[in-house]
Amino acid sequence: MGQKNKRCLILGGSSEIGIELSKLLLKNSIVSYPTYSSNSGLNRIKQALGQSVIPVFLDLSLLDSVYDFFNKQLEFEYLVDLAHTNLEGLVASLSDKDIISYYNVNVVNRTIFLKYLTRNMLIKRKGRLIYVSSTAAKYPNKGQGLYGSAKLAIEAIYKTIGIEMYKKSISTMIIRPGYILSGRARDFIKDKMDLLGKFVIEPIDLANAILFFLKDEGRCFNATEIILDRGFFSSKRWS
Amino acid sequence: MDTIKELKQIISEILDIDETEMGLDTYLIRDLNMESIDLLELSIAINSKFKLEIDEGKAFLKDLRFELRDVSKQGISQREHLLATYPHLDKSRIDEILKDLDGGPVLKLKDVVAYIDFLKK
Repeated sequence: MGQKNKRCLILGGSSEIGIELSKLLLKNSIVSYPTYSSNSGLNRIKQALGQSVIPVFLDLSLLDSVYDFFNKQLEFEYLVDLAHTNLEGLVASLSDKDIISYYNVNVVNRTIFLKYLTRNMLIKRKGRLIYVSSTAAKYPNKGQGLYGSAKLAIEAIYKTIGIEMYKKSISTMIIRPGYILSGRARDFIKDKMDLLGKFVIEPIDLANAILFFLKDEGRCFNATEIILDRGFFSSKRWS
Repeated sequence: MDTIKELKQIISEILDIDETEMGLDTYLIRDLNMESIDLLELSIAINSKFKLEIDEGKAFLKDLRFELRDVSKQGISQREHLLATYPHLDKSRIDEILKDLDGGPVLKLKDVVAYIDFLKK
């Protein structure tokens, strides 16, 4: 499947990485549909990308938003999933409400979203899904219990989709970035530049990796994960 | 187009086989080697072509063996239980299924046709 004129939905499309990815997709003649869940997100997309992309509203915290999304009957050949809500805290200190809400948004509703998206892809018998996970799925820091476990759970969903649907030309790939200079991690990384300096990933590095795995050249990678961290976590200090 | 003809067309596209390779008594899994992903594709295609929301458990007899296991625990007649669970199948087909269980998955093309026609009513 050549990638030109294909349509790519980007969950979390208003994030810094999402915007970087949209720019790269456009350069490669792939039509980008970044999702947003707030007016500020939509404004970020418009300011950075103007009319060159097609923003779509999707709020994974609301199941009705997922159903509304599919009522629009949009079709995509590619999905890049970058979305994730922020909640850090020691497991024993988190509120019951936050735990339930976190898994509802990041695991339950996302799985329902993937169910309908892949059913639609099955009709066309083509689809490539890239999930941007995190090294926290394997090596969570303190405070990342929900984040890491939700990432790991969704990795399993993507892997299973790849196994179940490969026969129908629908495949999946998981990228686990290490320390990426973007969003919520930026301040943490800047405080630790003496340790992390050479290993830090820029948003464009991740965007390039995603593009590679979307393209035909990367399609033999299916239902598996790869770590993008310049070798940082391969050191025995971390394993 | 009638149900059987449309269904044959759908299955031939899913499995990339000729429509003449199928008849009403063709076993979808035993004869055509349909896998669960093929049945999902069939379900989506039925939904799209016939505008019907299907229950895959009933349409493809997916839970048949669980139904029979549960019923034997409760001491109810298997025949009566299957007739109530699969109202699209008639008595003679239920009897046929009960005699055929040792041969493997019993789902035949005619079962799916019967399910679609039942929903259409």
